Amino acid sequence: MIRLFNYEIQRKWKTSLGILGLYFLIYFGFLLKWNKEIRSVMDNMNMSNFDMDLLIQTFGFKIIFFIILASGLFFASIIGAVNNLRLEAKQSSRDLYFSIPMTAYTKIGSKVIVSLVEVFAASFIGFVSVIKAFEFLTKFDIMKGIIDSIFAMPTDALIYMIIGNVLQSTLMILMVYLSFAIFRSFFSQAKLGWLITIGIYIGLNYLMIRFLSSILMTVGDAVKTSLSMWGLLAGFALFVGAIFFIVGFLFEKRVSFD
Amino acid sequence: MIALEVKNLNKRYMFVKALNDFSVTFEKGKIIGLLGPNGSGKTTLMRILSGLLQKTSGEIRFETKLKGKLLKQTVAYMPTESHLYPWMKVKQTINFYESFFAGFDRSKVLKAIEVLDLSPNATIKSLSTGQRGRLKVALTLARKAELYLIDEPLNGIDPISRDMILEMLASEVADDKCIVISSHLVHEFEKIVDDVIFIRKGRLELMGDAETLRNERQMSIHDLYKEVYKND
Repeated sequence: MIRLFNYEIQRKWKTSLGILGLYFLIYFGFLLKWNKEIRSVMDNMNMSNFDMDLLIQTFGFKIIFFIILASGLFFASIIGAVNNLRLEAKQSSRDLYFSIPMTAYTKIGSKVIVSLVEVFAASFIGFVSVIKAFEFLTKFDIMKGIIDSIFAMPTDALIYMIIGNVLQSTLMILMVYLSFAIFRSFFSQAKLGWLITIGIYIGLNYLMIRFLSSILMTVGDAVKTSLSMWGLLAGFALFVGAIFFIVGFLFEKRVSFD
Repeated sequence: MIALEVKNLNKRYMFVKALNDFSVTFEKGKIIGLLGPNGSGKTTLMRILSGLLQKTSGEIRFETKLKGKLLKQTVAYMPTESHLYPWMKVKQTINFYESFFAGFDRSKVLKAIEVLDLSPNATIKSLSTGQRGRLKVALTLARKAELYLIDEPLNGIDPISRDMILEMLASEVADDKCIVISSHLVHEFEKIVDDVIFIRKGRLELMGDAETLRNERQMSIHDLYKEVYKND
C-alpha cells in the first residue's frame, strides 16, 4: 500500500500544488485589494454613525466571493477524487496499473484513502481560509470561538462527528467508484460510457437514499450496541465496508478493460 | 513443460464473437508467434490471459492454479499501445517496475537504456515511438514471469528499433519461460519463433513447430501466412 501511495504522490503532487497555488494567488490577491477599501469604510465608521447597510454592502459580496472560492477548491478535490480512478481505468496506462500484482481491494483502498486526504485537506484549507479572510477584513476574532466550541463538545460527540464525516466522505467516493465498476463490468463495450456511468450513479444514489435508513436500522439492531448512536454508526460503517467490498470484488473478478 | 493450456475459450463482444472455441497450449522454453490479421482475436486472447479482460466461457489452465495477484505476477503482458505513464521519467518508470514487480531485473533495463542511448531523466512522452517501443520491451522482459505476452511489438517502429527488439526477444529464451509474440508482420519474426499459431476470426486456423511447417509445406512462414489468409 505504501508503494501505491508513493506512486499516487508522484502522480498528483504537481497538479495539487498547482491548484493550491492558484487558489492562494486569487485569495491573497483579492484579500489585499479589498483590505484597503474596507479599511477606509471602517475608519470612517464608529458607534455614532454605525451603518449596518453600508457594512453589509461592503462585506457581503466579498465574503461570499471567498466562500465561492473555497467551494471551488472543494469541488476541485471532488473532481480529483473521481479522476483518481476514472483516468486510471480510462487511459492506456491502465494496462500497467491493473497488471500490478496487488489485489483490487488494495488498489481501490489506496485510491479511496488518497481521495479522502485530498477532500479533507481541501475542506480544511477552504474553511480556515474563509474564516481567516473574514477575520482579516473585519478584525473580528471568530476562529478562537469556533475552536472553543469544538473543544467544548463532549468527546463522544466529537469522535462521532469525525467518524461520521469520514464514513460519509468515503461513501460518497465509493458510490462513484461503484458506478465505474458496474459500468466496466457490464457495459464496458457500450458507447457513451460517461452517460451510462452517470445514469448508474444516479440510480445507485436513488436506491441508497430510499433504502439506506432501513438498512442502517437493521444493521444497527443486529450489532446490538447499547447506545443507538454508536449502533447507527456501526451500521453505517458496515454499509460502507460492504460497498467497498463490492467495488473491490468487481474490479478483481468482473471488470473488463476493452 | 506446459506453461498454459487454453480450452474452448470464448469471448463475445456485443455484436461480435472475438474468440470462438479457441484451444491452444503454450510450452515453456519457446518463442511462440501468434499470427493473424487485424481483428483476428490476438489482442483479445492476450488481454484475457493477462487478466485485463473477462472471458465469456472456457478454461484457462496454468501449471499451477493462478488467480488475481499471482496471475499478474506470473504473466507479463505488453500491450501494443504505450502503457507507460507519459509524465514519468525513464528512471521513475524503472523504479515503478522495480517496486511493484518482484524479481524485476533492474540491471537488464539499465543495460538496455544504455544501448538505446536513452537519458534516465527523459520523460516518457518525450521519447520517439521507436525508443518507447524498445523501452517497453526491455521493461517487460526484465520482469520475472513465466509467460510473456508481447502484443504487436513492432507496430510503428523503425527498422533499426525493430532489429533491436527482435534481438532482445531472441536473447530471452529460457527453459522456465514462454514468450508469446502476436503480430501480422510475419517476415520479421520468422527467424526467432519456434512455434506458430495462426488465428482467424477468433478460431484456431493452424498451429505447429515453425521448422516442421516450413519443411512440410515447402514454404516460409511468411508465405504460409499469405496462403492461409489469402481470402481475408
